[in-house]
Amino acid sequence: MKTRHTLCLGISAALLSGCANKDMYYWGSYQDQIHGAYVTPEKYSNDSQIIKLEADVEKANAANKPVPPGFHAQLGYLYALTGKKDIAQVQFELEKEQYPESGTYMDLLMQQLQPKTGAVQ
Amino acid sequence: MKNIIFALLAATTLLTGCATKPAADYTAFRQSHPKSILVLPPVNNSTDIHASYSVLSTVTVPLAEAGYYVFPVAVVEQTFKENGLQNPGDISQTPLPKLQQIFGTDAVLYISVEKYGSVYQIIQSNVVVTAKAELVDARTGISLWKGQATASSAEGQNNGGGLAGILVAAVVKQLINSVGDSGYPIAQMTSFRLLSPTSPNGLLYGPRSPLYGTDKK
Repeated sequence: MKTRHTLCLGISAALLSGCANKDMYYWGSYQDQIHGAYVTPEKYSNDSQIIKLEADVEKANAANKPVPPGFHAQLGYLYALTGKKDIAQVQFELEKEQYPESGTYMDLLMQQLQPKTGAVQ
Repeated sequence: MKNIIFALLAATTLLTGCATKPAADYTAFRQSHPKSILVLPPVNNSTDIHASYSVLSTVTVPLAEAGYYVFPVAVVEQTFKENGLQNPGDISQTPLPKLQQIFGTDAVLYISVEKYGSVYQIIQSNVVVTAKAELVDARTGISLWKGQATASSAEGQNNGGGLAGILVAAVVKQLINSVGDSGYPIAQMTSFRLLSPTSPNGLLYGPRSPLYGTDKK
């Protein structure tokens, strides 16, 4: 009975928070990181976001679930902001490999990592 | 007399609402069968400065779980900034061919936030988030889908304070303290209702979903 009650609570909570269908991907802190960086940027340094997202990659692997669309691109972007262009490149490649739909955009982001190429005009 | 008939008709429509409402037309959506969706930063028609980016951060989950590739929303926004487009209003004016060239996307999702934040009432204040959205084919410019959804922290509290209301209230209270943006948990509900294929007027399942092609819409 108690188990059942807990299960019901869990399901209700899942439905309410809109994660009933969150089963294809390992989301980890991805959404909260993006939200936090917009709303309270002072609490979300690039480095702290990288640490959390890298931990999510480990957890996703352990859970045997893929990270969601955009995840590696976001991580690559954070690495680029901290000057780690080599790792950024690897992350953009990972995004492209996992999600070929991102190819055009990832190619552009990788091109922007090269010296002397600014934003697209 | 005419007025009475009209009122009766209106009442009947309201009462039977769900049952008789014509289903949205998904023909163009099916024909387009987009694989990827570029979400533009929402235009903010509310008074809360967090509205646009809070809603922006909550749409990836329902869209990706529906089976679409979703471009990384924060990186995309940065690309617009680097190209001189600072605000959602300007970004939403970008011609589709340009968006296709830069991102290689199949479809573009335009969102506007109509309400975001506290609605003060006599006894308590409720947090409400209302958003509208339109999905457009990036190649043809044809509108594939339109929707609107609302969520409120008061849900469930009016019919005897059921479990739903208690849980939402608890989640909201917790998140207000932790992130200083009370709309965020409600925005997650709004985005889910607006976009998820499990919603009556939500999107169709996309190619990455095991349920792709099974929609009854």
